[in-house]
Amino acid sequence: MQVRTVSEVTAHIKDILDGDPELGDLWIAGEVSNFKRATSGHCYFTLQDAQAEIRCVMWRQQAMRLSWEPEQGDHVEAHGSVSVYERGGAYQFYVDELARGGVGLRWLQLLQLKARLEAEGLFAPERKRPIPAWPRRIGVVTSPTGAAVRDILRVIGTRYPLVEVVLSPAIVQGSEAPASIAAAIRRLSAEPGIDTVIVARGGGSVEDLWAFNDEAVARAIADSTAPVISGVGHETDLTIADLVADLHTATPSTAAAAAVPDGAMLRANLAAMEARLAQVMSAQLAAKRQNLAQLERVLRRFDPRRQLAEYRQLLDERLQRATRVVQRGLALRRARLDGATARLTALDPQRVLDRGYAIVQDAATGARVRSVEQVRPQQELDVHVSDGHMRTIVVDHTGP
Amino acid sequence: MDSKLLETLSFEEGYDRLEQVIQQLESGDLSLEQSVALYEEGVQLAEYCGHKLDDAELRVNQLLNAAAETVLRIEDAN
Repeated sequence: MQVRTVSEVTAHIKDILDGDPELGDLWIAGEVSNFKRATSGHCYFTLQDAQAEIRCVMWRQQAMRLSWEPEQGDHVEAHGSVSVYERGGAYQFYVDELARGGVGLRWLQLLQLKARLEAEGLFAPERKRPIPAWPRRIGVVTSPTGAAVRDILRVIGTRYPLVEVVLSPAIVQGSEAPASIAAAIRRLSAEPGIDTVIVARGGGSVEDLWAFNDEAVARAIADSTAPVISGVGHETDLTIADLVADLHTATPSTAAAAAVPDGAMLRANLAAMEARLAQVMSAQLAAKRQNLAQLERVLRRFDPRRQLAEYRQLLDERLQRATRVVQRGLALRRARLDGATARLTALDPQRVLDRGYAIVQDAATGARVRSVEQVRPQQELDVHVSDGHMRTIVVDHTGP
Repeated sequence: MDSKLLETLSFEEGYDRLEQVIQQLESGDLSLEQSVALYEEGVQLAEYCGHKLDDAELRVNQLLNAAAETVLRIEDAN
């Protein structure tokens, strides 16, 4: 057999206790003895009955919520878990909720009511109605003077002030509370146009919130014409009102936030949508512009001015060719003319005269004398030489 | 959209319409005139909704029937 240390054994025992589901979450009824509140705020006491006792610890945080101080011999019901205090070598009951005797009975009744309503299907998920996304009238059931109503109005006013809040006042604490809350919910059901109902109460002890475990309240919520959001400030178990409500939230503020859209988000969405509008529009304009440019390019190919220009170019080319042809013809003719002129010049009689020849004409008729046979003695002739002419008379001539 | 018509819209109607307008614009297949008209409507809607949200003041009414008055008296007494 192996020898163990004290720590090992204690840790082992602690593991066993901590692992036990029953010991992790239970109610214990008993008499209080030796209740002590230490300067640290933690409370230490013993719970006992005729046969046994168990040491209890209630930490400062939970003890602070106690609205009463248990006295020696008080019958109480404590909720918590059993574990081991290793240094003290003792198992202890770690209490997180402490109720006066008899309240435990109410817990029992509550469990029975819960079971009954659950069997009836009042908690069923398929019964839950969606909370309207865009409410216009919101009914609020709470105390008109509490912090809850201020929180609700502040949250709604900040997030989405476009709604009308219809306050249906109720007593939310004490023996009259259940009937008052139920009646307030029913009044809202009778009111036209209520989109959503908030049933709320600020935080409190289990005792304070007991009205929200009442069957009348549960029925009123189940019967409500508008979906119900619960906002009952509680830290541990859900109340029956929470279970029946279409949506349960932890506080009046969160209930209010769940009832209306988030204005800040809406504003951001609006800005985003405006930006998208501008973006889409400019993208479309750009696309249209590009389209237009494309069309313009196509159109330009068929521009008559462009065709006209082409014709003009063709015409120019032909004109040039024609001009060249004509000019060539002209040059040719000029060359011929020049040749003729040269030949003509060579035939100029003056040049013959210059060379010493003479031209003879009949003075009377002007006829050229080319042969002696044309003249007879005594005939007057005109003889042309290079610088003038003279009248002569034929003296004689010889035959050929 | 006609500004008079716009005034009759609730915030959520304006908001929904704005979403529609953007979807229509994004779906394309619109003439330039249609696009421009939608764009102008969208800008108006966005402004309208923004103002509506900014200018709204929470209205609070209290149901005051006989029962409620009793409640109030009891609360006051408490």
